[in-house]
Amino acid sequence: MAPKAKKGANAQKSKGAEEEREEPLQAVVFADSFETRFAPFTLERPRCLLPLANTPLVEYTLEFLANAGVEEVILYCGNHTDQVEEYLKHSKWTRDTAPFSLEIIRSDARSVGDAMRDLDQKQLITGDFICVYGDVVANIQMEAALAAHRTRREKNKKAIMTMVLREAGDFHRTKSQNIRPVFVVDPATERCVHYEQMRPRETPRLDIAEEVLKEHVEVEVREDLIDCGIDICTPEVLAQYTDNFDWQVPRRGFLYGVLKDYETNQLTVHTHITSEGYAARVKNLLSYDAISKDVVSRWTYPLCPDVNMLSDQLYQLQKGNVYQEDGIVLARSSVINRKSVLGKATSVGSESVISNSIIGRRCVIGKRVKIDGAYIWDDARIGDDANIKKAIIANEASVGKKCHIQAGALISYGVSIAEGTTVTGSSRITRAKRQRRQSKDQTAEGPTNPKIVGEGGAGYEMEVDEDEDDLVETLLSGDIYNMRKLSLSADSISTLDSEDEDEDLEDSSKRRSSRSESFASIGSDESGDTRRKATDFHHEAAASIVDALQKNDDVNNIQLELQALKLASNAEDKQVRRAVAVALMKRIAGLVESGMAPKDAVAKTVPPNQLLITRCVTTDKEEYSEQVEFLLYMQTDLLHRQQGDKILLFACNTLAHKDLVEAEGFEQWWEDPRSSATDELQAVRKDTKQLVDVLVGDDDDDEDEDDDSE
Amino acid sequence: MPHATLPTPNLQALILCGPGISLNTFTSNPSDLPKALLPVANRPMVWYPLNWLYRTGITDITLITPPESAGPLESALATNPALTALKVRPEVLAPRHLLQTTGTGELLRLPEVQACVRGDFVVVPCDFVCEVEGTRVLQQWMTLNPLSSSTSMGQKKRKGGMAIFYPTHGLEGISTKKDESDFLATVPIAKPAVPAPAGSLREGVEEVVLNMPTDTLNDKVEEGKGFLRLRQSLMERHGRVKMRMKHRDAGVYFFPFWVKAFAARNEKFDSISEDLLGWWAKAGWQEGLGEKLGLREVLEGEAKGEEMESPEAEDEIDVTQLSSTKVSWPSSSQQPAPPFASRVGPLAPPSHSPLTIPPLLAYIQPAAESSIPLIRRVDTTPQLLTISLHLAKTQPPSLAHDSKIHPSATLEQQARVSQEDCLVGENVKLGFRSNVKESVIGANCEIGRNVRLTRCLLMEGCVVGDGVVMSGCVVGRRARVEGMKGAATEFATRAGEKKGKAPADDNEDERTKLTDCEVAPNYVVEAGTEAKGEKLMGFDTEGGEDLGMEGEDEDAED
Repeated sequence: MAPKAKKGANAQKSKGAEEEREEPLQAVVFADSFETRFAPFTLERPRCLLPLANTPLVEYTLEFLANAGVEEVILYCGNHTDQVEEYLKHSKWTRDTAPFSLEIIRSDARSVGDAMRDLDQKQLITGDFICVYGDVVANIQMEAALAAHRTRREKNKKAIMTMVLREAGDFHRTKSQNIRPVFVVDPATERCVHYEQMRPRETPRLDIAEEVLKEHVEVEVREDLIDCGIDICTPEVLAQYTDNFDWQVPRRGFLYGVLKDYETNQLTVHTHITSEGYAARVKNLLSYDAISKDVVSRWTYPLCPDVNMLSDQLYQLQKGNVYQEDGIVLARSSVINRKSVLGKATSVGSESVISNSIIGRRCVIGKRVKIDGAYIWDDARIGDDANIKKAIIANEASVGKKCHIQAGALISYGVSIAEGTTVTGSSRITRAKRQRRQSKDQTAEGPTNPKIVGEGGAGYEMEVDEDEDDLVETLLSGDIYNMRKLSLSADSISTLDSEDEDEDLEDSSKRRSSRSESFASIGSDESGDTRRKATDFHHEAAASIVDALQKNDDVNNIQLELQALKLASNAEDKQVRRAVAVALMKRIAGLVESGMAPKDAVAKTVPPNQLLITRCVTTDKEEYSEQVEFLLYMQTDLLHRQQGDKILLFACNTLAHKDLVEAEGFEQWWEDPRSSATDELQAVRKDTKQLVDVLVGDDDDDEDEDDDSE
Repeated sequence: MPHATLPTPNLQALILCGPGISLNTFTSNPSDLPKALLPVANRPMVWYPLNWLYRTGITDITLITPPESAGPLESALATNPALTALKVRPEVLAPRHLLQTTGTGELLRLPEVQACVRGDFVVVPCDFVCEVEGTRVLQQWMTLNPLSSSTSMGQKKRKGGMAIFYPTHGLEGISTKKDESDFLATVPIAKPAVPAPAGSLREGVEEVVLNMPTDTLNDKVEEGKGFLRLRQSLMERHGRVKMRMKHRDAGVYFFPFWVKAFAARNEKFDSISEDLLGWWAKAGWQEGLGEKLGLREVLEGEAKGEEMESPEAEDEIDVTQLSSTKVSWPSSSQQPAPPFASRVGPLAPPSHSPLTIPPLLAYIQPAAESSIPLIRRVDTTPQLLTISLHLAKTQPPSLAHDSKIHPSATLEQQARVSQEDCLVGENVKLGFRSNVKESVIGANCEIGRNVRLTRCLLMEGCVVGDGVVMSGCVVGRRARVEGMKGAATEFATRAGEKKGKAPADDNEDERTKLTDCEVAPNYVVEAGTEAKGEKLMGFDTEGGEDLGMEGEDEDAED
C-alpha cells in the first residue's frame, strides 16, 4: 500500500492505478550512470547529487517517478553510495509522507547490465517496472505509456519493454552532437524494429534489414526523438539480461540484442512516442547546460526553482525568469539580468553584472564582476573584477581578483585560482586525485600546479586520458567555431578511444585505467564502430562456445567454429582469448550453480576442451603476456560468479597441471597490478595465493602440491 | 459543369496512352484496340482521366500516344458515346519516334512533347481511375506552392511538384497480393499555423525523399547484402522519415514548368516515376546532387523565360508575407544551424548560395479499414476486372452511369440480373433463364440461354453460347464462347416443357466452363472447353504458344 500521497494529484493517480492491478508499480533508478562524463566533479560527488539549478539531480528524477504514480523505488548506487544514502536519509523521500517506499541498494555493479542481473538474482521485482537513470529531468505524463504497455502486454506476452521517447523537432538544444540514436518504428504496432546509433562521419549509412521492409507495411525512421532512457520493463527483461551475460547497456546491449534475436525469441520492444511534456537526461556537460536553461525557462514546469522542491528552498520568481531566494545581498549598482538564479545568502558586489547564470547559496561575488552563462555552485567566492564566461565553478572554489575564466572551463571543488590568472576554456581543474589501489570512491589531494592556477592557488589540471569520452561533448562550449574546430579533431580522438576498448588489459601504464572503468567504457553508450564490432564478436563467440560446451560438442568442432567466426569478424587473438576464458568460466559457473562441486565442474569442462586454450594461449615462447591475459580474463569474469574464488583456484590448478599456463605466467599474473586493482579482484584470487606460491616456489613439483593447497 | 471551385488552374494536361503490357491478352494489337480504349465498367479507360481532369477544371488536354494507336484513339474520341458525352475535346499527339516501348521519361524529352508543354502541367496515365476529386489534390498543390516565383527571404522560391500515391493493401475486393507497389519514403511537411479544414487532403500531403519501384528496392537490398543502406545525410536533414512499402505511385504528377527543362537536360531519365521523381526527391537532401542534375541552371537560368511561364501572375507579391496567420519562427528545415544544434559538418561553406530544391510533395492516401475513395491504376487484368466490378457495385457519384441496366438491353424470360452489382450495356441480349451476378456486360453482347455469369467482365460484342458457366473471367471484344449446341437446344425444349434442372445435371460435364480465364478479342472458345486460370489467345498473337497453358501473370514490366 502506498503511504498517504503528498499531493492531490498523486493520490488520484495511485488510486486509479490500484484499480487496474494489484501489484504496486515499481521503479528502478540507476543513480550511477557508469560513466565519467562529469569528471572532475564526479571524482568527489556522485552525479545524481550534482546541482541542476541549485537542486540535486536525483530530486528531479524522484519527483518524476512520484508523478508517474510509482509506489516502490529501488535505487542503485555505484560509487559514492554513502553520500547518496546520507542525502536521501535526510530528504523528504524517506519520510512517512513520501509517495513511495525507497530502497537503496549498494552495489558494485559496473554497468546497467550488471545491475539488472543483480536485480534478477535478488528477486525484488514483482511486476512491470519503470527503469530510469538518476539524472532524468522529465515532466511527461506516464499514464498513457503505462496503459499502452499494459494493453500490449495482455495481448502479447512477448512485448517485454516499452521505451518512452519524446518527440522533438529536428533541432533542440539537448541534442547530442556525436551520437544520434535512430529508431525504426512500425507506427501501426509501435514496435521498434531497428535501432542504430549513428555517428556523423563514422557511420555513413543506416542499414535496414530486408525483413523489416518485407514484413511491415510502413515503418518510420526517427532521428528526432529524445531518448532519455525511461523504459517500462517486464520482469522478462531481467531474465534476458541474465541470459545474456555480456549485455551492459540498455540500448547498445539490450535493445540491440533483443532486436537481433527476434527470429529466435520473438521478443518485441515497443516505443511510446509522446509529443507533450519535457524529457531529457543530464548526460554530459552539454546537456547540463541545455537542461539548466530549460529549467530556468520553465519548460520543465513543475520542476522549476520556484516550486522549491527541497523543503528548505524559498525561491521566488521575478521578472524575466530571475529566481531569488531570501537573504540575498545585492549592491545597489549591481545588475541581475534575465534567466538567472541566485541562492540564499549570496552577495553580489557593486557594478557586477550577472546574466544567464545560476549561482548557488552563500556565494560571495566581488565588485565589477561579469558573469555570463556560468554555473556557480554553493559557497564559491569570486574576487573583484573577475570575468567569468560559460564555465562551471563548483562548491567552495574560489576565483581570485581579476581572473578571467573562459567559456568551457571546469573548476572543481575547493580549487582556488590565484589573482589575475586566465583559465582557458579547455581546462578542468581539480584538487582531487583518484586513488587507484584503493576503493574507487576515495580520493586524495593532487599536486598543485601553479602554472594552471597561478601562484598561491590550489588545484591541478586533470589528465585528459582519465576521461574516456569524446571531448566535444564534454566541453561546455557555446562557441560554434570552437565546436567545429573540436569536432574536426574528434575523429582522431574517438579512434584512439575505440582502439583501446580491449587493450585495457594490454597495458600501457600511462593510459591504464582500472578494470572497472574500462568496463564502463565498453558499457558506455558511446562505443565506436570498432568497439561495437568487438563486442559483437565477443558476444557471439562466447555464446556459441557456451552452447557447444553445453551440448558436449567435439572440441575440434568448437575450435573450427571459433576460428571461422574469428576470421569472419576479423577479430584479434586477444578477443578470442577473452571469449574462450569467459565462455569456459561461464560454463563452469553454470555447472556449479546446478549443484556440482567446483572441482568437478572444472574437471568436467577444462581438460576435454584444453585445445581451445592451447590454440589461443602460447606456451612455447619465453613470452607470458598471453597467459597473463588469459588469467586476468578468467579472474575478472569470476568476480560475480557463485563461488568464483573456488572456481579460480581449481581452474588455475588444472591449467598448471596441464601445462597450459606456466609458472612464470602465474607469477607475472600475480604481480600484475591489474589483477589486484580492486578489493573484489583481490578477494577472488585470495584462495589461489597458496597455489601460486607453491608454483612459483618450485615449479617442478607443482603437481604434487596442488591438491594439498586447497 | 466543371465542379471546380477554384479558378481555372491554367494547367495543361498530358495523358500518356501507352501500351498495356500487362494487359496483353487484349492489347496485343495496339492499332486495333489500344490500352486506352479498353473498357472499364463499360467506358473506355481514357474516359476516366479525361473526366477527372475535366472535373478538376483542366480542359487543355493532350493525349500522347504512339503513332499506330493514334487512329483508333481519334476515331473513338469522335464516336464513342461515353467520350463524346464529355465536353472536352482533347488533342491527340502522336510523336513520330514514340514507340510502344519508350519510357515515360524519354517521352518528355521528345521534341513534339517539349514543344507542346507551355506552362505548368499535369501528367496523367490513361489507366488512372480516381474517385478523389482532382480539385482537392490541385488545391493542395496550389496552396503549398508560391503563387508565382516570388522573392521571399531573399531567395527565389520555385514551385514544387506533387504526386499521388495510393495504398495497395487493405482494400477488400480490390487489393490482391500481387499488386505492384512502390517503395516510398517521405517526411512530414511543416504544420500550418492554422489547422487545415476538415476533409482537406492536407493531412495526407508529405514530402518525398525517396521513391523507387519495389523491384529496384529488391535490387538495392541485394546489393547491400540483405540491407537497405540509407545515407546518413537523409537522417541528418530529416529527423522523421516514413517508409511505405505497400503504396503505389498513381502516375499522376502536377509539375511546374521547369520540370520540362529538367527532363530535357537529363538524358538518363528513363521513366518519370523512377528516375525523374527519384532523383528529384534525392536532390532535396543529398548534397551536391542538385548541381549534378543541372537543377541550378534549370531553376536559376529560367528567369528570362518567366514571362512565358505565367503571363498574368507577374506581380511580385509574396502572398505568404501578407498572411496574418504566418508562423513567426522560420521554418526549421532551412534554419541556419544554431550553435548547439549544429548539424553542419566542419566543411567549408559553399562558395555560392546553396541551391534550394523545390519540394516534391505527394498526396499519400492513407490506408484505412473502412472504405476509402478509390484511386487506382488499371494496368493488369485482375485490376481491370476488380475495378470494373467495384465501379459497377458502388457507382460513385462522379463515375456513375445513368442506368445500371441500359434501357436498350433485352432480357428474356426468367433472365436474372442482380441489379446492385451488375452493369449491362446497350443492346445486350440476355437469354432465357440466364443468371448474371456481379458482372459487367459490354454493349451489343449476346448471352445465350441458361448462362451463368459470376464476377465476369465482357467487353463489347461478345457472344456467349447457351449453357456456358463462367466465373472470374474477362472476355475480349467480339470473342465467342460457344455453349453445347445440342445440350442447349435440348435443354431449351425441355425447359420449355417446364421440366426443371435435370438435363442440366446430365450435361454438367459437357458444358463450357471457364473459371478465372482471359479470353482474347475475337477468339472463339470451342464448345465443351473447361479451363481454369488460363489465357485463351489465338496463335497469331504474341504469346500464342502458351495457348491453353498457364497464364503469364508475371509479365515483364518496363
